[in-house]
Amino acid sequence: MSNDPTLETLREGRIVSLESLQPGESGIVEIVEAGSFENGLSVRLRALGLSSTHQVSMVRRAWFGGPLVVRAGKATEIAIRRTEAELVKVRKIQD
Amino acid sequence: MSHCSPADANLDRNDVPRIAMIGQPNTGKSMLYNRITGASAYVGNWPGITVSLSNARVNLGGRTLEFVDLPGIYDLEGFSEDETVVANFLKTYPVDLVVIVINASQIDRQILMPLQIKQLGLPAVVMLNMADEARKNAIEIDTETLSARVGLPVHLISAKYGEGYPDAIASVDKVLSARADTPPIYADYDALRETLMTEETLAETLSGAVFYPEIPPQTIAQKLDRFLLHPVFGLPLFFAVMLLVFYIVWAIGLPSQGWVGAITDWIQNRILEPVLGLGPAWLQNFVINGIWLGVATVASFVPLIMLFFFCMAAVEDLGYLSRAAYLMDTWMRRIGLDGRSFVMQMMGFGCNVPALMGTRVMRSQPLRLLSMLIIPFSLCSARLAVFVFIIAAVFPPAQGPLVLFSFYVISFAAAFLAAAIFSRSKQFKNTEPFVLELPPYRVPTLRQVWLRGYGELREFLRRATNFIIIGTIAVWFLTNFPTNATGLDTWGGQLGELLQPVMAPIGINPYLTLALIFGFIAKEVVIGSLSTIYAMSAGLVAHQIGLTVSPAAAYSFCLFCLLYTPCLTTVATVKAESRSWGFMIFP
Repeated sequence: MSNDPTLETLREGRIVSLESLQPGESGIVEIVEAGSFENGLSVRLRALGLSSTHQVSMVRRAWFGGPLVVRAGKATEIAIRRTEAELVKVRKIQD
Repeated sequence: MSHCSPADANLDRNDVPRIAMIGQPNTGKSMLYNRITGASAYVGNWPGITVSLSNARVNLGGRTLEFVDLPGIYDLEGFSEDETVVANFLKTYPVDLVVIVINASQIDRQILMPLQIKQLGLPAVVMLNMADEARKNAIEIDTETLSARVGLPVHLISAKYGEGYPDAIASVDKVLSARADTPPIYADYDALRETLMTEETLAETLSGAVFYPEIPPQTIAQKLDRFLLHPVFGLPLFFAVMLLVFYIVWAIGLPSQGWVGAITDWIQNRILEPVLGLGPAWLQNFVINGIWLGVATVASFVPLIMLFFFCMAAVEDLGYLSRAAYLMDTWMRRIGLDGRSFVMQMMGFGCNVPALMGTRVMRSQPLRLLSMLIIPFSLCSARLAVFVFIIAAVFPPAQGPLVLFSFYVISFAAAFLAAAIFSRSKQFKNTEPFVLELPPYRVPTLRQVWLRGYGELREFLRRATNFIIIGTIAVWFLTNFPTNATGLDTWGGQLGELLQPVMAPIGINPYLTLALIFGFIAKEVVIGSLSTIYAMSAGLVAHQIGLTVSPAAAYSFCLFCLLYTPCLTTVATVKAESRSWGFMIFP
């Protein structure tokens, strides 16, 4: 709709945290930051199919700051806390 | 670790071929294990391994084989307690074969495990389980191509319905025959550490062998989750389901105690008393009031506990418990716990012991300890039986269920309060990420629920029986000596009197005090010991308590029983699982 170059990059996909996705939105995992978990989080997420270059989509968000449900890869649904999802950086896929 | 020299190999030869079963959680590994072993599995201790593992000897194709069910793990290189257990096992005990169980629908990520096992140098057969689910998800798997890629036999099976199972077992047999004269192998973790497994490795292994549909078909789970995981109604729905479970246990389990009681009374009247009547009177007294009473008490709990385990197995197999963890995490994290602690607490309502063992899935020691701290507050089925007995004796029938419900509320409140207080301390700072797989909903089959429930029950009996028998014998001694004394003049009665200065202000009389002391061994002993203490049958004791104990005192007794100490088995489990004496004494 616009020729603004910044908007173009946005449409190509910008890097956001998994936590910020709305239900139905998806992205490609870029990196899982360690946060306070050292490599504990990234090792567990890798085993669940949530690691670099894999697709992830937001399924639902609990109320009152509760955990999120995301779908990793093809057939795995994962419940994850918001603070943990904050550490997963994804390149958002535009519809 | 290298054990390849011929001299070692001979020493290390297993007397029967040993097959380790390995896989991620939610792959149906235990279901396959149950299918292979039937109900013949037992839990054994392995020196050098910190937890007990289930194993079984099975005759397959004219050969005796030993199957070991390793804990479900996500990663062979992980650091959770279960993951360490598996690594220690494979390093300490040589295996002849590894059966790798994979959820066929999730092969895109689970293919990692066969590749890792291959690096460990272990002979293996890969079982792609839940073939029926994969078909429903429109996933196509070419097992021959995949087998060639991985270099291991690959089979599509359904452990639940038996599809593909005969071929898979034949394949196990074939691999074992081919290496009949080869010594078993220790896992080579150095080789695994030196190999870097990238996403490309996984993708290359799968390309051309596994096809996922472009648009995955909408599953039943997605439709059901819209209701069951509803942000507002999800939690009330869960509590309604749990209420239903307790109602079933209550409605069927309690009358069943009467049926078992009728059987044990019959054995006592028709067999034990006539036979023992031939011997001296003290022997008859000892065997009947000392030992048989204990056995009969345990027996009367069997249907109730079995029913509870069946219900919990069904709820768990359905895939609902992990969703409960998701629903409760919002609230549990505020008191330093996570959703899984809540699930364990729910399990604790059946029996604290398996719930304590269930905390092994937690990687963070502080989180585990805090969870173990609150589980003994769960009103277990043994305490339930005591409460039902006392409440039925003292309170009017209309108030009974409400009084009982109030104890469940107190049980939760005490647990949450304890967690809220202790989570302030640095020692219990939770450092574990909350990441939990939500498996698809699965219809539990009767066979599966039976095998699980029966296995749990057998474990419960194994742990409980000794304590209860020793406990009732102890009660018998304390209440039968000095000879000729009865009631409060016995050693036991005097012990109760001795504690009166403490117990009288909270309205608990010496008889009930004594019952509480024995309740430390096992709550199951409390009712039995009341019969012995009052020297009356259970029915008369109920009547006597109804006449002599006020509702307030009865409530106080139950409250004390709920909160003072868990049973000895629970205490022993807390000690074993936390590996610390200090922590055991703490709660």
